Amino acid sequence: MTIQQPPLLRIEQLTLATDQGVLVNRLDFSIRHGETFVLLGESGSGKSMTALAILRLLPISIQAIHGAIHWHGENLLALPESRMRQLRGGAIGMIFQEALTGLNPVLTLGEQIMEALRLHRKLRGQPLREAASELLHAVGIAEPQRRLQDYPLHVSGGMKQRVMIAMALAGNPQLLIADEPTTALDVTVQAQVLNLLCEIQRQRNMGMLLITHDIGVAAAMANHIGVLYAGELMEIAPRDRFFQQATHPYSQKLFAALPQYGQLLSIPGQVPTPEEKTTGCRFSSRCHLADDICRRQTPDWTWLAAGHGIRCHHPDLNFSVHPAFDTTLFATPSTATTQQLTVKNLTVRFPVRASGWWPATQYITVVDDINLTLAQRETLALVGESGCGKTTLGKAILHLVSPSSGHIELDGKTYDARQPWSNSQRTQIQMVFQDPFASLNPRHTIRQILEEGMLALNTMPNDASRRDWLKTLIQRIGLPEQVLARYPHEFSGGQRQRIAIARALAVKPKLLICDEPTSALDVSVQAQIIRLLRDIQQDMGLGLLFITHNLPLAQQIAHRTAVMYLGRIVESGDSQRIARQPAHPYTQALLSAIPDLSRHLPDGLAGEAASVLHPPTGCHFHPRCAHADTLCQTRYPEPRELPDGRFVRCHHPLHNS
Amino acid sequence: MIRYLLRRLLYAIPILLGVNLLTFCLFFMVNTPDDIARMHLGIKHVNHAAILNWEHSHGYDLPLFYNRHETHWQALTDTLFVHKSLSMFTLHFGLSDDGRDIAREIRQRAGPSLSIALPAFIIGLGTNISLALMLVWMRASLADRVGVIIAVALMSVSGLFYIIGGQFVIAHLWRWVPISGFVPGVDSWRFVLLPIAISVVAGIGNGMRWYRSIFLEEIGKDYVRTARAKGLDESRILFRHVLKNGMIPILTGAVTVLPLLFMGSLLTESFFGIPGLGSYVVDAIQSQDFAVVRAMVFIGSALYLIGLWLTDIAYGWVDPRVRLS
Amino acid sequence: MTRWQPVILWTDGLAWLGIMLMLILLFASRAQMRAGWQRLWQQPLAVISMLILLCYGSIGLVDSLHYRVRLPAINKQAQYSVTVYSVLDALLTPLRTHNETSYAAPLARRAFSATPERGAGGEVIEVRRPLQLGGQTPPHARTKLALRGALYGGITGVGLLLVIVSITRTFAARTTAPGQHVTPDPEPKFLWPKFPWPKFPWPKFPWRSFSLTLLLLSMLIGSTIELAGNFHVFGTNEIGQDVLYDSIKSVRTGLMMGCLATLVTLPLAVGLGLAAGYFGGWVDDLVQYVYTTLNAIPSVLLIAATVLLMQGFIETHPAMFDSTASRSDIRLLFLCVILGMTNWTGLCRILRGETLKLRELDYIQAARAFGVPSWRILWQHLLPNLSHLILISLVMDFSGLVLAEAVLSYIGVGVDPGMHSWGNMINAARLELSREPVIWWPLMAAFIGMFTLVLAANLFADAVREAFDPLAKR
Repeated sequence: MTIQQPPLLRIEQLTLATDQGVLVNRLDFSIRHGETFVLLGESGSGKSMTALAILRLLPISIQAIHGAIHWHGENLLALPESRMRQLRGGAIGMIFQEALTGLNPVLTLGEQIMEALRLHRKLRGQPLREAASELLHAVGIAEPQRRLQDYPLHVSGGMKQRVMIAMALAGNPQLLIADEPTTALDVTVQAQVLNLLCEIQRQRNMGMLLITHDIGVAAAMANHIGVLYAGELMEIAPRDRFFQQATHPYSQKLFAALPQYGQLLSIPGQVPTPEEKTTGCRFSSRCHLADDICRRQTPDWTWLAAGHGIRCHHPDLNFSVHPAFDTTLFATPSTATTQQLTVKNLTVRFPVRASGWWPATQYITVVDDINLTLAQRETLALVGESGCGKTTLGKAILHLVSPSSGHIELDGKTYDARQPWSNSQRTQIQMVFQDPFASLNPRHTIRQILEEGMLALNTMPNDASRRDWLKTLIQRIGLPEQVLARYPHEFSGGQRQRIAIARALAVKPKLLICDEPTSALDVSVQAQIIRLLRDIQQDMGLGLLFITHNLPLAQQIAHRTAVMYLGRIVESGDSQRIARQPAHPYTQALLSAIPDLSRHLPDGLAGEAASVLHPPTGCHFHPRCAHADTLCQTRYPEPRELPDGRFVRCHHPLHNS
Repeated sequence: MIRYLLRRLLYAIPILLGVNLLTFCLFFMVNTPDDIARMHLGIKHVNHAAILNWEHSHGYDLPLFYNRHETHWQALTDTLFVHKSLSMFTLHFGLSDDGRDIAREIRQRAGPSLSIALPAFIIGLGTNISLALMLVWMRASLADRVGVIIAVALMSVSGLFYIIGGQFVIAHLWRWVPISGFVPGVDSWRFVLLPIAISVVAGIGNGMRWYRSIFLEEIGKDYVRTARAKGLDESRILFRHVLKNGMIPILTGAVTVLPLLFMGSLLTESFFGIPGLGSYVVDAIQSQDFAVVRAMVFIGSALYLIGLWLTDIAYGWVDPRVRLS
Repeated sequence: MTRWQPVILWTDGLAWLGIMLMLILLFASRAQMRAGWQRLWQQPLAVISMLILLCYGSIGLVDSLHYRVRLPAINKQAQYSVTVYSVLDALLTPLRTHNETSYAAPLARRAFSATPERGAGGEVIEVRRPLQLGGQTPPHARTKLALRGALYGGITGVGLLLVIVSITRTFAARTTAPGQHVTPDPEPKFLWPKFPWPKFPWPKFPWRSFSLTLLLLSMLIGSTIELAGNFHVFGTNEIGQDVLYDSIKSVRTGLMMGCLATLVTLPLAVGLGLAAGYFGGWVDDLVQYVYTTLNAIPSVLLIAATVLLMQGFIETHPAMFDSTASRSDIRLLFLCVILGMTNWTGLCRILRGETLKLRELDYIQAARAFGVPSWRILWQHLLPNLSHLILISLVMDFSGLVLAEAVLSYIGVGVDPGMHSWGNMINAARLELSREPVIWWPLMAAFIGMFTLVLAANLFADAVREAFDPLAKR
């Protein structure tokens, strides 16, 4: 690394503000040739705004832009618009998070790529088409010639992101800005895209600014890392040093909050919004080390080593993870043996119908012949990628989606799953939904929201006792009693999810289905919710069905795990065993696709999940499976029990013993 | 795709039947043939024989749905519903109350209607889209705000004022074009010029504002940001990306009303004395000629349904998302 | 025994009922819609157009209080006149009663056309006779009257403003918690002395636009009143009636069209739209079939046909309507009902689509998981979350309905030809324009009356959409 060489891009004291408040405050960092700088931050930290500021694509609402962005001796913020346009898509390329909506739906992929080529490389005619198909080839798209004629609707999410990358590469950029390029993708596809980005960067010796909220992604990709919190850089360090000795309390807490690293420490409070004018360190309100100076004075950079600086008043205090922190978490062995819930042969099929009065001729099977059991005090994790039918399964158990066949055994009684539920069943199972912003009626007060179930199911006819129970509930989820009169929009995502949990608990169910309750939340808040669920499970003896796409999280919190692929459970059993020795190739692929903190890039799984509309013949997974043979292509494997008690649906399980 | 379109076409039949039944109920059950006869003969000198005579001469002397005096099929077919209502499916509209063949009248009048409605529609579409693009180009500036307020003011003026005012100033005061009238053939340009111009101006307010909001919605989408990040300039983004996407709702909306252009414009035609279908309707309403009104209702609905069907085709044609799925 | 007897026409009753209903609904949803109202009342255009709409509204409401005068008793039996007046008629008595013989230009002192008269020497000469109203007023009085009226109006306006401000302030002081007071704007603005404008309940209320509009409006009204006492401000029409009176009386007709048609539209659109979207299946198919069928029929023809039928009904049953007022009233009511029946499909389609989307939201799913009955989900979850769409669509449709009245009256299927309405005024003005010299003032009066109302309504609708639609573009 040549220190003398001037950096490719240097950001100096960048400040962005709306009339509401400051979004990004005095940002300093630089990116060198051939190097990846990762800007790590939670939602609302201002990381995307920083990226947009480099290309000067900020929304109009940003009224104040101060500081400087140096690029080859020019200040980007002072350039005329015409010169800026030459840089955009030329020397600086950018890819966005929204791959699904980021392509123009009415232009072919070829037209969209060639547009950039024509502009920045001045190509015309045959060379233009060749360059376009070369680009598609470079981002790993097969049959590029044919793909050029396709419209965005023809290609999958991962493929769209590849096309976006190809477009960003059209101008042979020296710097590539990638704004959460993999957040909207499944883990297996994320791994493919990360690998691709890394390879391209090495080939072209580009500088890269990668923006992410995922420490795993940062670990896999970064040369340098900057941690952004509420619009301010907290810590900046070379990659290896950061993962060995991250020093800022916030960085350390972020590590501790991750499920992958065993602790799920919750950081109290929320990220301050730009409207909140805080003095002093932005993190002081959530920092256990904070003292008077922290609250009064904004800390300056302290340099601990070459390239490693933090903005903290107490760089010398040796921070260690919360002393009284118990690491047991959900690992308490299940004491109950009684099966609270048994799902037998549950199948959900949806008709595909064109319009109006035409009878349906074609069905898609979203949930296919599922068997599950769940005991009291037990946590069962249902893991799968998007579109595998896990949410539908959760809803079908509650009869929010009508199953086409199957039985549900609840509390010793067997019901036909197709029958609508009775109120007594409803008091036994409740659900917590994924999106806390859509799961609370914005026109109802918190009191109305919490009372709804009690009134509808008449579990607590007495007014006084209902009021007492409400108070208990609201305290249980850690909110003051006054919030009962407020409306949902006054709460943050994490608080809303607590309220949603309280709503489900209001009717005192015995089982709770949690549908990705933390996937819409930041890492630091996610842990709070998980811990709340854990505490409640222990207090009330709940059985939890935890639906998630996050296998490490499942491994952390669940006693048993069931892995779903295209509507079927492919492997189920003890969480620890599944995590250590996956038996199904898909489970193994899921595990190896998750970026971890070691330097290694995650392994991508070839291809993407097929659509339930046209499931592959035989084993659904065989087109992506390295071990597939002719048997796999023709017959779907029956479940088989492994010696350790796991069930797996695979003709060639990886661990037979 | 073909099967889908055929299915959509079949879907129009129950709707047309519904329209037919509804108008039949309105015209023959709420208002009996006796009432119609009485209205035409004048209430003063009502005479039962005169009423029967009128009904007979106009073919109204049949039962509504079931003819007891006939046998077999005729009991069902020799009824008012079949003769007066279902017959319209075969484009038999019968005679108007003053004894003319309605079908012939409609054929003759469609041409003049179209000669105003079609140019007005095309010029109007072009004008509105260009004005809307101009506003979107200058979006969030003072010019945009003023433009929107002007559009709102323009659409707050009743169509009657545009016609009366335009006719008064241009034809009456300045005498640039004849006040009203029509001659068939190419010479008609002098007569249709003013009606077309007025129709275009009267539609500017609404059209401009609507198209502007469509374009603004498109410009907020993610793909526009991608296009900017590619380094495209504003005009390319506007004309290549935004216009192409925005034209989908605009064109399909335009296709919907295309068949209805045959119906002409009620106000413009009757003010300018154009012998088109619009003024035919106004005259029929004013002389309470129900036979004509019924025929026009049927034709209007049929044209509307054709428009809906064309919209389906147009969607398939301009939008790859529909065409290829 | 009173000297008069109140008469409640159908449209009167429904209009007042509608107002009451609207106030109740607004009050009931005040907490849920607070953010929207706050955004609405910070837009100057919303405040200005609302003030203008209020003026129109109060004219319409005062014109909706009808009564009959008691006649001298016969055989000790109370007898009431068959002519029905409204309170507005009573207020406008000078305008109503000072009829000329024929046309008179605005603010004229003499008749528009000359009439033959025997001169002093017995010869016949063409004379433009002095008018009843205006004939006796000195020629230079117009400006003086206008200015005096503006002054009076201005004073009243300032008084009104002070009253409004002080009421709001007292109200604010009573309802705001001590800590909640918003600090006043620290910078005094040039020419705008720092005035302690109330900050409650809408902190960003554009008081400047409000007071300026209020002042201008009251000055305008003041000078109109002052002038109208001595002149025909907008001249007279063919039969010598005051055009200003005609135009003012038309306000009620226009408003009724807009409001009552809405009152019919609302239950149909909301009920069917919600049901179709929420239940799906055959309910959805049926509702879609009905509105596609209704949409397929050209609306003008449907309206014309129904109005013609209704006209026939009224003619054949004259006994059911005891006065001309009630006959034209019932015709207006029918017209509104018909317009409402043909107009509900648009809102219904919007609501159906939105319900389809909302139905899948998690809070509806949560309610279903609790077994909350469907009607309660519709009423408590869906309706409140669609209310902004309903509000937006209603205010947007209003102006269209007012405009429709004029067109329908022109075609001959509008309100009763004897009723005061802008449509009828325009209809009559058509021939007047081809006269020589041109009679332009009735058309202008109708134009001003209608344009102001529709423009205010449109601007207000825009503001409402911007304030209540989370997706509206700025």
